[in-house]
Parts: sequence; C-alpha cells; structure tokens
Amino acid sequence: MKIMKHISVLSLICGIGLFLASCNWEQDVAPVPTFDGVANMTIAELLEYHTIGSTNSFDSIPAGTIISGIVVSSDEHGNCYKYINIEDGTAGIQIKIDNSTLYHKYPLGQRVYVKCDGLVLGDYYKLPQLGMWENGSMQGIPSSKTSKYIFCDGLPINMEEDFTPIVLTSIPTADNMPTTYYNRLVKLENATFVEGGAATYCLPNASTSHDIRMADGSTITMRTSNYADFINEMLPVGTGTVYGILTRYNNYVQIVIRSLDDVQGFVAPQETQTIFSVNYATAFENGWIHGAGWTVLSNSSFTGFYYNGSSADGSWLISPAINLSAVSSPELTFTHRAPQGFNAQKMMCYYTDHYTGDVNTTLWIPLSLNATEGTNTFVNEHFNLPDGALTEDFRIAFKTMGDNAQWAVNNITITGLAK
Amino acid sequence: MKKLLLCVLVFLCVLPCLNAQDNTTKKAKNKKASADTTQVVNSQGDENTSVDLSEGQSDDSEGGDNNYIPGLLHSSQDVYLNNTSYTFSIAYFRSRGLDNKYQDVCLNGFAMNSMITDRASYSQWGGLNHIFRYPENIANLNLAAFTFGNVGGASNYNLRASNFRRQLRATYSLSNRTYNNRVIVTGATGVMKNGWSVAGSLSARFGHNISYVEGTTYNSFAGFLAVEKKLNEANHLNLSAFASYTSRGMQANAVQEVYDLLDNHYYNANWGWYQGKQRNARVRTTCEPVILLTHTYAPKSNKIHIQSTIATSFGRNNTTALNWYDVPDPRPDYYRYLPSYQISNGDTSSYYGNIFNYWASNDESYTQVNWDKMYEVNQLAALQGKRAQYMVENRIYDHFLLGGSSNFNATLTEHVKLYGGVDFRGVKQKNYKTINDMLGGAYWLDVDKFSEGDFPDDQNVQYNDLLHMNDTLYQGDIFGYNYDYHIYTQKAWAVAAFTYNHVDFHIGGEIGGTEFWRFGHMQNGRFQNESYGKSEVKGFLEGAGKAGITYKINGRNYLVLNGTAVSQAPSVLNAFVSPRIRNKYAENLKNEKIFAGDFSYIITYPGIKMRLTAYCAQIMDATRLISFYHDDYASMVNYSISGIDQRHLGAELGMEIKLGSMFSLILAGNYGDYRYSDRAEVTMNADNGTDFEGDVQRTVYWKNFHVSGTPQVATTAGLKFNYNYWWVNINCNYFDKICCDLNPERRTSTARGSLDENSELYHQVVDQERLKGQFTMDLSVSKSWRIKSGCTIGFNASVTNLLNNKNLVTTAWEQYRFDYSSYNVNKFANKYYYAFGTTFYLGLNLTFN
Repeated sequence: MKIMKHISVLSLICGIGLFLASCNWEQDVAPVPTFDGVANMTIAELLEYHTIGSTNSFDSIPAGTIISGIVVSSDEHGNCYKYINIEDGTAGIQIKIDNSTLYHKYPLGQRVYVKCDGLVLGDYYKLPQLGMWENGSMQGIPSSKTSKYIFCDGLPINMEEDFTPIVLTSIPTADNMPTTYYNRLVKLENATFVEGGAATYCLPNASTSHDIRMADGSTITMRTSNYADFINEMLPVGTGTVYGILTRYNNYVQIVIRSLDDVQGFVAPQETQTIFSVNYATAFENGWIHGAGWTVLSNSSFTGFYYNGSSADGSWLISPAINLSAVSSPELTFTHRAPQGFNAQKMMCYYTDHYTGDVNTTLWIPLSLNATEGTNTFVNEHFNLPDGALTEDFRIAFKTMGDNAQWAVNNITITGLAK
Repeated sequence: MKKLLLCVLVFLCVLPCLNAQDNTTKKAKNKKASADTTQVVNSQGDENTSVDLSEGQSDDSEGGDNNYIPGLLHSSQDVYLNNTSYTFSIAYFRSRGLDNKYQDVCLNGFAMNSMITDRASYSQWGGLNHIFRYPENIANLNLAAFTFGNVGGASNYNLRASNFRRQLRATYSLSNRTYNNRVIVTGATGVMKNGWSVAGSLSARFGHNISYVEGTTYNSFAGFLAVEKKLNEANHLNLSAFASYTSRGMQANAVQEVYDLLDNHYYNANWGWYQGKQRNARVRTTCEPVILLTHTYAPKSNKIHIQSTIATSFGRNNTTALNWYDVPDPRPDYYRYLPSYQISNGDTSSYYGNIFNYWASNDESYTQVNWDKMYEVNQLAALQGKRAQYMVENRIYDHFLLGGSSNFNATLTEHVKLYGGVDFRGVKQKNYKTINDMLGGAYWLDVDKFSEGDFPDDQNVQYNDLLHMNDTLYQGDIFGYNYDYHIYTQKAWAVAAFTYNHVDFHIGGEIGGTEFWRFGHMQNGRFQNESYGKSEVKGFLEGAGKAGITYKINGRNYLVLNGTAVSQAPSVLNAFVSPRIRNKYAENLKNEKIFAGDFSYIITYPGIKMRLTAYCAQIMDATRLISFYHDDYASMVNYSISGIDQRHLGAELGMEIKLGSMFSLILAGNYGDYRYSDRAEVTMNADNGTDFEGDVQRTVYWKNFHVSGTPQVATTAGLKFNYNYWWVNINCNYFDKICCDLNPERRTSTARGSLDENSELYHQVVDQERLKGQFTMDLSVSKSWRIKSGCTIGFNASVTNLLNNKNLVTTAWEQYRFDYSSYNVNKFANKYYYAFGTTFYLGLNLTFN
C-alpha cells in the first residue's frame, strides 16, 4: 500500500518530467520583412524627371515618391560595386549605396521599395542613377541610412522561372536604345565574344572591355571589373546567350554580367582529330591496294601517290579500312595535280562504307574533284563526308583511266570530331 | 532525458530497502544537528566542508491518523540544495534558472538586495566568512519567517553579537582561485553576565602570484563589529557594522579564435606590461559599509518574536576602463586586430601573416594592452599642446541607503502562527565617471566621439555637458555622464501558517510600492531638453501572494505544494531609454510579473533523505536595456527590450543514502528547460542624437529559444566519508544544456532579412549555440583535532575540477554587434568564459573556546 503510494507520487512527478522532456519546442521564426505601402510612381515615370547628360547636376524627385522594383544586379561576385539595379517592368534604375557587400541584404530577385524623399536623380555619363547629392556630386546612400530609404518586401523571386528579361538580338546605337532599357536585365541571344578563347574576362589590375558581336554584326561592350572573382577565366568561343545589366557610358552601349552563370550555352567546338593520314614510305605495306602504274614517290619535291602509266580499264588505288565509327563530321582533304589535258573522266575519287574485296561489286560513291582540267599545279580538295560514311570499314579510292598520265595525289587526311 | 530516467531508476531500486530501514530505526532517537555541524555553503565558494551529523530530523512517530506529525524544517536542511549549491557553482549554475535578483538576502531580517540591481552584493561582506557563515536558507517558494521572499528563495544572516558563542578563532587559507592568501581572526564574548555581547572579525585577502587568470590581482580587507546589550528579559539592542574593501583586476571574456590562437582558455585582454609589472585596465574597487541597529523583542513565553532593524549602507563601487578618442581601439582583442578579420576583409597577404604570428607566438606587446604606446601617443600630443587621446576612466556608483524593517512572528493558537513585517527604505545612487589616469596626456575634452562626425554643422551636439562645454578636464574630473537615481520603496507583508495533524498550510500576501526618478547633473548636447534636472517620478504598486500546503503522509513522507505570484516594479536600470544622458522613460513601463509553483515529494528516513520536485516559473513583462554599436545605423544604440516572457520548467532530485556508518551516497540533479515563452518588443534609439526618425520599434522573435546564464542540466553523484572527525567528499558532476546568451537583434525581421529559412546562412544568423556538456570531479578533505580542552585545530582542503577539464563554458554571449553588410556572423563571434581547471583551497583553523 505504502509502496503504491510512493510509486503513484513518483510517477506523477516523473510524468511531468517526461512531459517536459518530450515537448516539441519549435524555434521561432522572424517573418520576412514586408513594406507597408505601395509604389506611387513607375521607374519610367521617375526617369522623366531627369534630363540625360547632366553629369554634374541633379534633378529632384517629387515629394512622397515611392518606387518599387526587383533587384537584378548582384555584387556577390564582385562585378557590381556599391550599387543595386532595380526594375519594375517599365524601366530600370541604378541605386548607389556606399557599401561594398549588398547581395545578402538586397539579393537577386528581391522586391524593394524606395522612398525617394532625400534622394536625387542624376546620371553617370548618361546612365541614370538614384543617390544622394553631396559636395557637388552624386554619392551613394551611406550604409547607415539605407534603412531609411530602401525597404525589402518578401522573399526574392526565382529569377530563372519568374522573371523575363528583355531579349536583344541586335544592338542599336546608345541613343537609339530605348532609355527604359538601361539598368535592366537583358538577354543577348546568339552572341559571340570577339576575343572568345583568346582573352580572359578582365585584366588583373584594370576594368576591361570586350566586344560581343551579335548575329547581325552589331556589337555591345561587355565591361568587367578587375574585382570580379572570375576575371581569370577565358572568354568562351562560339555562340551563346549572355545575360547582364544593360548600361551605357556616353555613347557606348555596355553590358555588365553578374557572374559566369550569366554566360550560357557557349559550346566550345569539339576538338578536331586526325583520323587518318598516310605514311607514304610504308603505304603499300600498310594495306593500300593499288593497280598498275601506282607508285609511291618520295623525293625532295614530292611525297605521295603517283600514277604514271596507261590503262584503258582504269587502275585503282584503294585505301586500307579506316574506322570512322568514333567520330562525327569527318572531313577528307587531299591535294592533287592533274597533268595537262587530263580531264575529269580520266581521274576519279570515290569512297565506300563497305569494301567487298572486289572493286566491281563494291558500291562506290563518287566525289567530284575541283581540278577538271589538269593545270600541272596542286589543287586542294575538301569534302565533308556524310553520316552514312561513318563505318568501321570506310575506304577511299582513286581511279585513273588515263594513258601516259602522271597523276599525283598527296596529303590525304581525314579529320573528325570526337564523339 | 536519459539522466532523468536514470534518477528514477536509482530511486526505484532504493525504495524497498527504505522501508526495511524504516522498521529497524523506528525507535531511533532524533539527534539534533548542532549549528557547528550543519552544512556550510558559502556563497563565495571557498569553503565547502560538508559536515552533516544529523541522522534524520523526524521523531519516531509514524503514528496513526489522529497523531500529530511534525512538519518539515526547511531551513538549511534541504537535501538537494545542501548537496548542489557548492558543487554546481563551478558551472555558474542557477537554481531553476532564475536570476539571483529573485532571491532575498537578509541581514537581521533587513533585505540587502540592492534597490538598483535587485541583487544582493556579496562583496559588501567579502572576506568575513567567519561571520557570514550559517545563513538560514529558505529554499525557493517555502515560507520564511524573516521576509515574504521572492520566487528564488531567501536567506537570513543573524549578525547579532549574542549569536556568536564565546570563541577566538583564526583561519589561514591558501588558494589559487580569486585570491591566494587569506587570514581571518574572529573573537566573540558570548552573552556576558552584564548582558553585553561583543563580536568582531578582521580579514585580509591578497593575491596575484598564483592567480588562475593573469593580471587579476586581488587585495581585500574587511572588518566586522557587533555589540549587543540585553536590556531586559525580552528586549535586546544590537549594533552591527561591517565593511569590506576589495580591489581586484578583472578578467575579460574573449572569442574562441583568440583562445585557440593562444591555446589558453584563460587569456585576459585586460592587462598589459607597464614598468615591468602587469597592469590591469579594468580594476574593480568596492567598499560599501553597512550599519545595522537591531532591536529584538523575544519574551520568554515564546508566543511572539519581533525583530526591527534600522540599516544604512553607503559607499562606492567603481570600475576602471580604457577610454580613447580618435585613435585606434586600445583593446588588444578588438575584432580588427584578429587574423580572421584580415581574411574576411580579403587580405591574406603579409599583414595577415604578421598578425597571425603575433597571436600564435603570443607577442605580448600585441596580445595584451600596450600601455607604453598609449603613453607615447599622449605624450606626443601633450608636447604639441593637444588633448590626451587615451586615458583610464573610472565608472563610479556611489550609493546611500537608509531603511528600516520590522518583522514579527506570533503564535496565535495551537494551530495558527502569524508572520508579518513592514519595510521602508530609500536610496540615492550617484552614477558618473571620472578621469582616473591621463596616461601622460595633457588634458581631456568632454565630447562624444560618435556624435562629432555625424553633425558637423551642429557643434553643440558633440558636448556631453553644455554647462561645461569648453572645460579642459584633468585627473579626477567628472565627464561623460553624471546622474542620480532616487528610489523609495515601502512594503508590508503577512503570512498565516496553520498546522494540523496531517496538513500544514500557509497563505499570505505582500503589498507595497516603489517610486523612482532620475536627476541629471549634465545638460547633454544631443538631448538638451531632457537630460538636466529631475525626471518625471514614476510610481508602481507592487504586490505578491503565496500559499503552500504540506500533506504529511507520515513522519517520513511528505507532499508539498507551493505557489507564489509576484508583481514587482521594473528595475530603474531598465526604466530609462538612455539613463546616462536622458530623462526619458522607456515605453510601456510596467510591472514584471512572476508566477511560480512547485510540487515536491520529500522523504526523511534515517537511512535515506530525498526530495524530488517538479517546478515551474513564468516570468512576464520583464525588461532589459542593452547598449551596443549598431552596424546598420553606424551608431551606439540603446536597445530597450520590454515584454520579456520566460518559462522555466524542470525537476530537481536530491538524495542522500547512508551506506553503513561511515559512508553516504549522494545523488542530486536538476533537469531544467528554460525558454523565452513569447516574443519581446524593442524600442531602439541612438545615443549620438537625432538621426533616428523617432524611436525604432522591433519585435524579437525568440519564442522557444533558451534562456541562458546557467546549465539547464546539472547532476552530481558523490560519496561522503566520515569517521573520527575525518570528512572526505568526492563528487562527479555533469553539466549540460549550456546555451549561449542571445543577441535579440539577430532574431528580428530586419536581421533575418531575405534569408531563406533553409539556407546555411539563415541558421548561422538565427540558431542559438549550445555548448558541449562536461564532466568535472571534486574532492575535499577535512579533519579537526582537539589539542587540549578548549583548543581545536583543524584543516580543510579541497580540489575542484580534479580532472583539469578546461572546456566547461560557464558563460557564452553573442556579441550585440552584428555584421549587417556582409552577414558574416564570425566577424563578431560569440564570447566565452571557461570554468577554471584544477584549483585548490587549503584552510587551517585554530579555535579557542
């Protein structure tokens, strides 16, 4: 009985203890800051209060102006410095802030509201800016005062899925570019770096410009700060898409990328491999099949195959089997010299994807040669071989019908791109 | 959780033998514990001779329903507190997680809690360990006879001369904790035939040679005198006076980076070499004497007892600190002087390398305060007729308190006892700072370094005192701030206690009031109209109620349920938004409310004593004021937090089991869960002036985050040995759930900003650090010999943290500065204090009776 009493008291106290220990205490979460208000002016409307080109003066903004926009710039990778760009669908504006790390506070895709009282509009070599006017120039908002002017609202949007940048396929002159496009995120399609593969994004100790050429030949300057963390990367070769903030510097249209993620779709051309080339010294030992008259000539002026004879039925020179199954876009090149008066009917070039062992039963596909009439000089030949040629048993063949002809074939090479 | 289950398991195993012992000892006589053999728990933590001869306090009656069963004696007999108070002190353990402002500390029934901080200042009687030795301790919510009490328990020291028996006693102590050497000599006459009693004590403490933390010198002198006259059979008049002067170099906390670089958890940034000696920039000096005139009415009938005390306390508490103007921060561990800052600043060049090497090689001209450099800068400036740029300031608090209390207890009937009292008091505290040492400089100007740059057009703004704006200041001059607090309180309380056969219960209440105001002696340039003169007077009505019931199952088993509700005025320290310079009160100033309850099961068999308690406390509307440099506003801000709600839940177990005649097994522990139970509100404003567009309001989202300041889990298992006046104690202790103190700003929407809740950075900013649990082990030995009649010699020795565990964090803080620009939480990393490794205490006692 007494023990029962002990146990009941104990279980009560332990029960309370167990209850405490098992409680699930969810950690409090501070809500994302929101802005209590609405924008009463679009950025496009705001820009109308400023006359572009007044570098050393500013324009005031009507009292009580509030604008809003999505942050499209980022200093995370060091290429934007002491500013953010926001755009609202009508236009974009650069806001100067005197702080070198802004991307945590104003991340990409963040909606912000800007109370413009106390701020002024100006431009830096014709690029519109919002900031503070002090000592005769446009200054960034001090970091200790940003909380008075710039207000974040909600979580950042997903820029890839929920934001559509302006697409540019051609670059007009700076004055012909719509003013409302500046300071916004743009997407350059079919763009090529003029110095692709030949230069890095930026020199180590100075901001650097590189031209980007559009499909129509118009160009835009990509401007990169030497404080960016990707300056030592090579500019890509080929053609792709470039995202960035559209800016201008006087009469130059420029683009500022935010990171290497802004350079997309540039596929470097695959490396060309030499699949086949002939070692003439041992050619006939290495599987070349040749009819009468074909020899390998090796002297100081010429190394190659050489036909010197006469054959009314034709004399064949057939390559050994060449494996083209591991490549794409194979190309065949060679040079040849036809003798004077030697016409196309007397020299022919073929290929086959399967050699039966008998020239007569093999399906030969002819290649048309450039030299229709011999000029006694070497002529280059170049053929893009079709996909049907990509077999393990590919062969090329040269056939002559000539008499007393001296046909020289040289530098036979097949190249292709590794698959 | 596991620990809790373990405790339960142990208890269940012991349960059967408990009843067996009960039968055999049924006839055992109660041996009363004499005062000398009760457990001594010294709040200073340097004597821990655990001596307990009591075989159990209950009579042999287990009796039938009709028989009277004696109640519980709470004072100094609590098996949990006795076995944990000292043992847990290494980890800065706080009972139930409660701040010690909720605990009343009384001298002759007069509460000594500061009216400013609400906390009792033990340094007022530091060193007087012979006198302040055997307090009457009331655990937690229990009934006290000498005060109404708060939710953290109460203790009372009887300082009447007649309380000390005729004796001459001397103690010499050697230790490597706060001091090295201590001497105390105490004499008392006892009650002499002429009715007079006299008691006196002198003490001195010194230390710097073997102090655990470098640069922490220690000098202390204390004296006590009490004279009592028995006027007649019932009336006694006593005068007690004491003072303790203590001056000691302070230890600084530091970030882990510094501790790691120096491989020293006791690095102290406060000191530096000066003229071949370690000079500490932060020296705290306290001397706050107390005089108590006590009248006691205790007629022989014992039906009534009245004790009345008029008390005064006065004196100074001051701390020095470095101050500088328009020169680099002289504190060696300032964040910009650390290697991590160079890296985060993008500089990994030779500058980083040099700084890393200074720290790694502990170049003390860099890692400690560089006094010579400050002198050099100042002397150069002086030669050019310029102001000093470095100095040592002295932050001074001078208080004068006068008050009186009168407490009574009266036996009304066989079953009813009435306790009650009144208390009136007033205090004036002057708060100011002076120039302590100009460090070779010529003069000082009293301008605010944070304001000067911000308002170049308004010259007045920079001056701390427009009434003396162009004064050049020299050593000893007041500068910066200068203001008084005036506080008056009045209280009356009564508790009725009822005793019946199976049930004891009590119920009571307290009512009172507090008024306070500020008086500014300076007209501050930033707040010209609200800094000088008297502020508005604020008054608060206060009240409290408490009730408790003990169900006496039998003479050995008790169930106790207690509850207390308190509504108390906010501390004056938190009442003003910027107390140093402004008369403006914080918004929504209202009473702090505390509700607390506990439920205990207590057993007191001769072979086993145990208390198992579940407790809860709900604190509501507490306030706090902090000041720090806010990086988003680039200004010093005052951060007034109101509506702080805390919920403290937990369970305590204390158990002492006899193992034969010589050994006892101790098991004790606390499993607590202390959290903020709701969000708090913040009003923020800047010290440097008007740049804020009014005050900034914020909500702190810290609900369910842990309250810091104590390990929430603390357990000990110990073995006591006692034979022929040999006492040996060995304890193994474990501490866990040690949580870092929160920077409220990091739990606001503003700081959280647009961080994704799932991102690593969000968790770095918002999550609360929890330190690793740690084991420690303690050993103490004491022995006394009677040399000849009336002369006893004894020693006690203790080694704390025997295993030299240097990883127990006692306090962890998040710095209030937060890197708003780059969200680099390591820029202003958490700061820590570590518990000392192995320390020892050796005391030799000589007593003549």
